[in-house]
Amino acid sequence: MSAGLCASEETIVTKIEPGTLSRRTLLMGATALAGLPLLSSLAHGQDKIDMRIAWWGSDDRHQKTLKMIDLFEAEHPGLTMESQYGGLIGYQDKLSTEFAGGNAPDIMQVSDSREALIKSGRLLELDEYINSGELDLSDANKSVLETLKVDGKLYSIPWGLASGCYFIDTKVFADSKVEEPGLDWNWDGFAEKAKAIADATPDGVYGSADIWAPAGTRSFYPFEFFLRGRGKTAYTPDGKLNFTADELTEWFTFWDELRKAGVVPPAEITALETGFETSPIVTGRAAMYPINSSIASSLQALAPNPLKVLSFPSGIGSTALSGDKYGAFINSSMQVYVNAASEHKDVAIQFLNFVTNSPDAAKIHLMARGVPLSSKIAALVSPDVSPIEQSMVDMIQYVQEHAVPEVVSWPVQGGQIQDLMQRSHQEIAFGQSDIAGTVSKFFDEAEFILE
Amino acid sequence: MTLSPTPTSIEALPQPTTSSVKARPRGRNILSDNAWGYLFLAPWIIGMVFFMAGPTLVSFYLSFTSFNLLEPPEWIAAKNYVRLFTQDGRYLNALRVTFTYVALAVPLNLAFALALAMVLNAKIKGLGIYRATYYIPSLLGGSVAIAILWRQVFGFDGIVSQALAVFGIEGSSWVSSPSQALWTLIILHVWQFGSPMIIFLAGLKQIPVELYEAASVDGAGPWRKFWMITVPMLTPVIFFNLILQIINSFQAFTPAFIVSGGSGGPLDSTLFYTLYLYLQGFANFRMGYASAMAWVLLVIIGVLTALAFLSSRYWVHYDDSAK
Repeated sequence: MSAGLCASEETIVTKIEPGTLSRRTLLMGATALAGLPLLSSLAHGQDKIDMRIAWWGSDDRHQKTLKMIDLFEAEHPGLTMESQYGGLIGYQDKLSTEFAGGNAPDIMQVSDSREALIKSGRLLELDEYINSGELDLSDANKSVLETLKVDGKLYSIPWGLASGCYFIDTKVFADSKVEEPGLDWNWDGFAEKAKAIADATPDGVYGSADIWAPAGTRSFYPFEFFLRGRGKTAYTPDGKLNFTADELTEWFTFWDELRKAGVVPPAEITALETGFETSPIVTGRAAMYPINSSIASSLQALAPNPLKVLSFPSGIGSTALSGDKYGAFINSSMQVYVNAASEHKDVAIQFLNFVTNSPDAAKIHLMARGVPLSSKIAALVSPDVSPIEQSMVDMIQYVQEHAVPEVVSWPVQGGQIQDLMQRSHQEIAFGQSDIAGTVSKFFDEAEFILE
Repeated sequence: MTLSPTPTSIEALPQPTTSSVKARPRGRNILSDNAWGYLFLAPWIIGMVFFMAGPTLVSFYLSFTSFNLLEPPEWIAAKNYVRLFTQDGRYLNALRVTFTYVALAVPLNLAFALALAMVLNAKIKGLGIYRATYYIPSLLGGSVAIAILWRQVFGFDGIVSQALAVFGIEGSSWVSSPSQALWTLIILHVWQFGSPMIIFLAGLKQIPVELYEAASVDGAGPWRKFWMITVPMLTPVIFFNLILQIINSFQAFTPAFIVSGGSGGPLDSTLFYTLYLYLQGFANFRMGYASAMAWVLLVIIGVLTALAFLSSRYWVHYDDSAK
């Protein structure tokens, strides 16, 4: 051991006196620590990108989406996609809070409040990217895209085409010797089939679920189909209600009569449903169930019997809920949006393009969110799809061919009006209020909500 | 500021002498002592200011605005408060549901907790095990898992309706019936009797045995002993539990949210105050309105607690009051 080394140790000891940790030493240490992640990121190259994506759904959809994202990451070295997924309950609450806090995901599905998000400029307008060719929609159904526009601008692309529909239990139909309805059925036909099944099955099994089934389409959306059948819309373009007390009375009465006749279940059974997992078509209590078609493969996986997808009944040629036009339309539920504040908009657009046009992605995803937007892709995956998905394809095809084009988007408070409609059905079904009283209360409360 | 106990700072430490305050040599060191105190308090102070006091004050401001989270708040003066009491039928219903819940769940819970505390106060073998067992529901009761379980138990095919069917009572679904759903939540609350029970137990142990012995000698039966000795001696503990329970049950949220599937249904029959507040704020994006609701709730709880304190002088007997 040399004397020199000893001397230098001594110097160090005397420099850092016990307990006098100088500010400079502290700062230097802190800087060195802060620099560490910087160094490691340099080592990885400068293309390292972190993004987040959010969606809701069931397990089937989660697994397929995660695999798709793995593939997208493999195609983009340096990209890390963080996935944020779960069920629908609470999804929008969390997303809106994230938007308010400035940490919303880069890419996401939006469930209820797209109007509010668009109005406040939080979602990226896509037309610029479509025009530049970065987002290729040449194989997409143009009329569907047209219905999704808000004030003439496109903010989302469908990650799959869907519509409100009826799932029917083919075994119960066969056992009851009731002929399955076709895609062109109307409300009279619906009531007749449902009654025939209720008569042919034991007590406790009903022809159809009620229209306010909590996990289903919920009542307002089919009510909008009914109004469109009469050439009307649910809302005016400036966000006021566009229907009369008579039309609402007609709608409530139709369902009330079916309930009183024991064709749809009593209120206590309908209110028990917490998700499509506990819906009467899964528990075997009803032979028909109204819900969004995008759920097809998940619902079939849970249901005891083979299901089939039917479009919503129309009012054409019907005495009940009559209307001379076809009211159902392709809806905007399974849409994918880009955060306008994303730091990697270009990559996000590439992802939208990937889900729309990549054959490899389509082979993984199949129809987990409905029928693919691109007709080319839809044709490509059709040999791989299950019978339930095939019947969903037929239904979407039918709706696309027959739907009345005009769609007026819901105002920001649309979700609250939908809840109000659900509560109104409950008041009638639980016998707390008659139809006339419920209708007038509906308009009072709607005025308060839309004010 | 130095980070080590240098000779001067050791001198500055309060000495165990009577003149220690005056003996502090220089103001600078007192200040440095305080600085140390504040340094160690800093995590709490920062948390308090940024996560409690700050948001609380901001929410007071927001309660006078229309604010949807996405656009800047807009000043509308007292309109939110006026709306609450004059236009919003669901709000008045939520108040009614919450008051019913508190008025039924709190006394039932306390009675149940006291009854079990009396039983567990007896000298039986393996008492520790019983006490632990009865405390478990309190740990689990507020959880999401139990709320989901509750939905099953009181559902259409649940244990309760099946058990009632044995006695010939027609099976029905408690959770999906507007007249019964609130009761399932009250039962859930009563079931979480553990913490008041433990506090009651501690209180019971404080009551001098001589009082009971003297009463026995005078020929008092158990019922009389309970009303004339146990209850009066226990009133401070009852009072403490009552205040805690009132405050807690006004703020109950999880059970209603889960059991009703997040809606407060069926027919708003389980629409607790906090649940409606949450729905207005986070589902309808009316943060200003929700803030106003939060402040009204604060006033309600404050007033009720104050009333309980005022009434306490008439029914709560502290040991030392006899002196």
